[in-house]
Amino acid sequence: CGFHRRIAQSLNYERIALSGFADRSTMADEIRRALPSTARIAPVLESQVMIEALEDTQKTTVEASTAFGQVRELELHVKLRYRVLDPKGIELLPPANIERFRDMTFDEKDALAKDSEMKALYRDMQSDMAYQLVRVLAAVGKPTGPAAQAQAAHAAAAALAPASAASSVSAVEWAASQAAGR
Amino acid sequence: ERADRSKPMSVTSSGGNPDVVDLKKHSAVFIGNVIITQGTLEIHADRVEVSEDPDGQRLGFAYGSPEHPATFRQKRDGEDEYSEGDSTRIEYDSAANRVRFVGAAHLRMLKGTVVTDQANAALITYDTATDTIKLGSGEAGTASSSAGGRTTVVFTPKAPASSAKAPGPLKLDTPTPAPGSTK
Amino acid sequence: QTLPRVRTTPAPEPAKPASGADGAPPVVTLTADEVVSHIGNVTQASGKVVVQRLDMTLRADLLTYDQLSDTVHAQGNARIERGLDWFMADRVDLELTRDAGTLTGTQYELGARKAGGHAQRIELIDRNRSTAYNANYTSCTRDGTGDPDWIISGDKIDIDTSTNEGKAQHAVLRFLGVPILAAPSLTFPVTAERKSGWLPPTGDLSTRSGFSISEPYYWNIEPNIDATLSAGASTRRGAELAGELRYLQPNDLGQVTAYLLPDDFSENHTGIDTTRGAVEWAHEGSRGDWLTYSARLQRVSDSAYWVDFPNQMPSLTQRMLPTDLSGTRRFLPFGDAGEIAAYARVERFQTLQEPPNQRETDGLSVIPVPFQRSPQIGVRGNLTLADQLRFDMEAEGNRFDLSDRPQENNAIGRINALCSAGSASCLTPLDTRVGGARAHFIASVSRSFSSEWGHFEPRLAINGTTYRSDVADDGTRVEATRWVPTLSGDSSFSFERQTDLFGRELVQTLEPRFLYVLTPRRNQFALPLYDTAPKDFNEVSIYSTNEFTGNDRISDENQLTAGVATRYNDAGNGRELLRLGIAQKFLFSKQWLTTSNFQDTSDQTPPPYTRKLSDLLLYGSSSAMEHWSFDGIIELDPFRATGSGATGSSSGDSGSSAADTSGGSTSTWTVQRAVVSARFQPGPFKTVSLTYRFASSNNGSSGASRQFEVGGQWPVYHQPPRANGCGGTLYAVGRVDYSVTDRRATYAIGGLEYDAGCWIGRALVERTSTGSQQSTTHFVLQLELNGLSTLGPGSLTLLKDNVPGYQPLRNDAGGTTASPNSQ
Repeated sequence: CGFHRRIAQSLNYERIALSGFADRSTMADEIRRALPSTARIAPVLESQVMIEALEDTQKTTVEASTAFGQVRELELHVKLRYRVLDPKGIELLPPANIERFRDMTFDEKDALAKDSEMKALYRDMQSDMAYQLVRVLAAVGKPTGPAAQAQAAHAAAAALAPASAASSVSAVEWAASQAAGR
Repeated sequence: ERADRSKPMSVTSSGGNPDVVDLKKHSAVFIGNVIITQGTLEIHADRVEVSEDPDGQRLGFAYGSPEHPATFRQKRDGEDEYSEGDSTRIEYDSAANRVRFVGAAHLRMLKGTVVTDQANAALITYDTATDTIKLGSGEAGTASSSAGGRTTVVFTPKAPASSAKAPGPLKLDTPTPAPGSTK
Repeated sequence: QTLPRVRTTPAPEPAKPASGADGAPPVVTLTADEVVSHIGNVTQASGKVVVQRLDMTLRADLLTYDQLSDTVHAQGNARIERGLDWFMADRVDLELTRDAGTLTGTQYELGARKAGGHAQRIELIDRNRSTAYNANYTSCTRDGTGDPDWIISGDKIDIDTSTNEGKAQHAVLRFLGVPILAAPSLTFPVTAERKSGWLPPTGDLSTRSGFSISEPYYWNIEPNIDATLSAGASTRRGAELAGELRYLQPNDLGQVTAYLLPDDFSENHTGIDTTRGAVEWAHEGSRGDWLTYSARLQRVSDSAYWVDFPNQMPSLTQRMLPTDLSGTRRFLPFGDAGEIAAYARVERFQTLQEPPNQRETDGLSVIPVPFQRSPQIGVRGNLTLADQLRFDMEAEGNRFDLSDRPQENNAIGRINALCSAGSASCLTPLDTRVGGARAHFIASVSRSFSSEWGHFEPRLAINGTTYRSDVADDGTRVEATRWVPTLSGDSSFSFERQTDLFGRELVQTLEPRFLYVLTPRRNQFALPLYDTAPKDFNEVSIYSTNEFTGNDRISDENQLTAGVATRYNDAGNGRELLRLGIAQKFLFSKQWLTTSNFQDTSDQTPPPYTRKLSDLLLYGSSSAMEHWSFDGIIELDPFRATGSGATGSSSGDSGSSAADTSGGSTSTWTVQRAVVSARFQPGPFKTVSLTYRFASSNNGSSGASRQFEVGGQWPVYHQPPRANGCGGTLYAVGRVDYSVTDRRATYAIGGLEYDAGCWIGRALVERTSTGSQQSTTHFVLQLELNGLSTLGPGSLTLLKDNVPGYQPLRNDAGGTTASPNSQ
């Protein structure tokens, strides 16, 4: 019925930077795992494209509780709001959301067990979101040509919100270094 | 300086001598990069009309063009201070010690080579005796040099901003009375 | 639950160079129609005069400038613009070098907060400081027509943008013309940063505590430490004190909150100690990325606290408050080929049983106390060799105890007494659990063969666990060791094709997945149940090698899970529009330990699950339609006859009663569990979500339950700001959980938020049920004046945590979010 084996999920980029993710974000780990073998996570300065996380949240809310205040249902909600920038800081992909919701039963007497089940469910939702993100990234075009002139980077520097992740250099310096013809 | 009024005024032009002389009106017209000098005052223009009024004071009209305006330069009383200006037409009245720049007028006060104040307007009247300038939109139709036909003056504060001392009390030095016209 | 980040003060802007580029005094540019200038001295200018110096611009009709003293005197609708602020005045005398001067008959605005007002006279002291006499201040529109909604007026208002402080002397705060606060001095922030100062009072009305009002004070101790202290009183409980401290260090951040009622006179007749309170501490820290640690502590003074003060503690489970201290140390001995992590954790709970004064005696309200880990110590590691051969290892020791139970025993004791008398209300089994020590070792080796379209990963794992429990009441003790090997093979493939649906170019994927698991049978019924519970039946648990979480039960399996998922992705941008999946388990042999018989403590082994098929799982989610998103999971039992009479219970997946071994019953598909939800979010501040939840009676819970949940945030009334400046948007916010089976709302929160641009009024009512016939209704009235106060904790988190998709109208820093009103 027309199905053929999936051809290589080739990304047009080898070096991808992640910025704006919370310090020990499990979402960033799942993205790292979901990348095809041809691509890897690179520090911001050497990357060809940057995925900037504008919102990377996990939120658990009580969905159902008994008449005596015992919790019976929880809703797990994971949200990633991201945008994709090229070395000059120009948006290749405008901000977009990937969200997943999932329900889970709960009982206070199984607190320890439910805690580990919740972690497993969150990890699974995030790995599925990472898979979707890689698919979206594959649809983004070729990396831009050789470094643009300096003033383009200067303009880009103004447009970029400084990335908050401690580990990565702020996006402003990144755009400038790209322009310096790395 | 103010002393220029009493200095002889000489006018030279590329043609060497005046082209049109009108003895009755005691006026002469020079054409071709004319230079008027009187003491430290110097005016350059394409065409100059000099005339003498009955009690001997000379009146100079220097005409330039928007592309090649007439220029004016004179030393001021202060030590190593000069004033420079240019406009399409410069009228010099040595009696009243007044210079009028008409049309796209610029006037600069210099200390050595550093411009301390500068002004652009349609019409600038510079009274070298009382050291005051009047700037305005001038007669209708005269082109102004600053945007929107407005007058612009750029001052450099005398008291250097960085010095911490408060500026001295407001002193208004009264202009010395204009010397009587010598005859 | 994420920690509220303390906002470090925004970095101060770089100091502007005071003088011209090369240190020369800054030039003063004067533009006008007519100028008369005495060179080096006084200059008179008239006709739309503009004077510019650095970032200051002065406009006036008539102006004189004295070059010697660098001072300007201006008249005739003079206007000064300086940075973001502007001043209009009838007369201005200004010394440019010192940015100082006097303005009379003025109107001013401080740009950072778009707030300002009128003043009879303003003295500009220097670049940042100014004093307005007989002045007022508001952030509402001041176009002179109607008077603004709120306004502070005072004899003297000192404004200092460098210390971000505005101080009004003999100040009166009027709201809609009514003076609501008068103080000898009232301070307020003038720039966007946080600022110590009194916050407007918050009122609270609840059926349990009566009317209470509290006056919070925000104390900005240091850029990275701030505190909100509030004192107040309630009509039925007396004095109430509360304090919240937040700190942000380079490697650590956290927050401590404490509540205290010195003498709660509403309780003194019922035996509860009258001094009541609660404390909450949350902390996160790390050293580089090799050591991470966190702490979470929530304790309350008595077991009725959650009834009287619902939702005061941030824990999701109001009746079970955690104390959780954990640390993880990571090593990378094999570079990025593997990792070893040593971890330690103490996890204890304060379980609030129903208060003694409550008449509820049936067992439903009693919570069997969960086991506590005190402590848990372990090490976990993995290593992946070149040819994708991977070794995983986990060795862990746990000490489980039920130290929290003695307190609870008065309730359990009473229940047990009832139980022994054989009366009907003996629903909860006698709680004879005891603590104990457990150590387990898990090792596994796996090899993954993968290409773009396929993936196969065989895995062999061994789980060794040894128990040494405490001595139970009947003198017995469990000492046992259990070794269980597991062989599993996980394979998944993915196929694609171009297709189009409703005219959209799509790429449809087809992802079949097969998981075979072989685990021998081990008799584990005698082993204690510390941290184990059945997994919910969903697409994660159906593809896992054990039907239980934790370590105390490993289900024996000789099963194949087969399923297929399909996704429709937009061919252009690759976004997933629709995802559907189906999966089921095929059992090749009987299963002895199932999620329905694992609690059987009778002597003989319970009957096995003999069916060949597990329940069928259908799941899906879609965001194909603009602004809509759907989500659903349905679990179908192919064999069970409908009706709750069926014996035994198959909780979730492969459990089933021994009776219908031959599958003789009619194979009607009955829904065991279903959760379907839809969300509509057309734009910011506009969201509605509807969730339907069904669980059949034999799904382990007390009976078939059907529940609807509706929630959201929607602007119900918008009035464009009219002449008198009071236009605004009224938002309805809320959520209702309605249980069809109990025919009552188990939870409801509703509220109205009115955003008038320069202030927000909020009225909330929350009704949480705390007993079969008993519930607490809790009202909150709150006023937030934009530019005058940043919102303290309290009702905002109440909305954020309980209303799906809720978005605050203002973000914390008081800066305006994209609320339509502020555009």
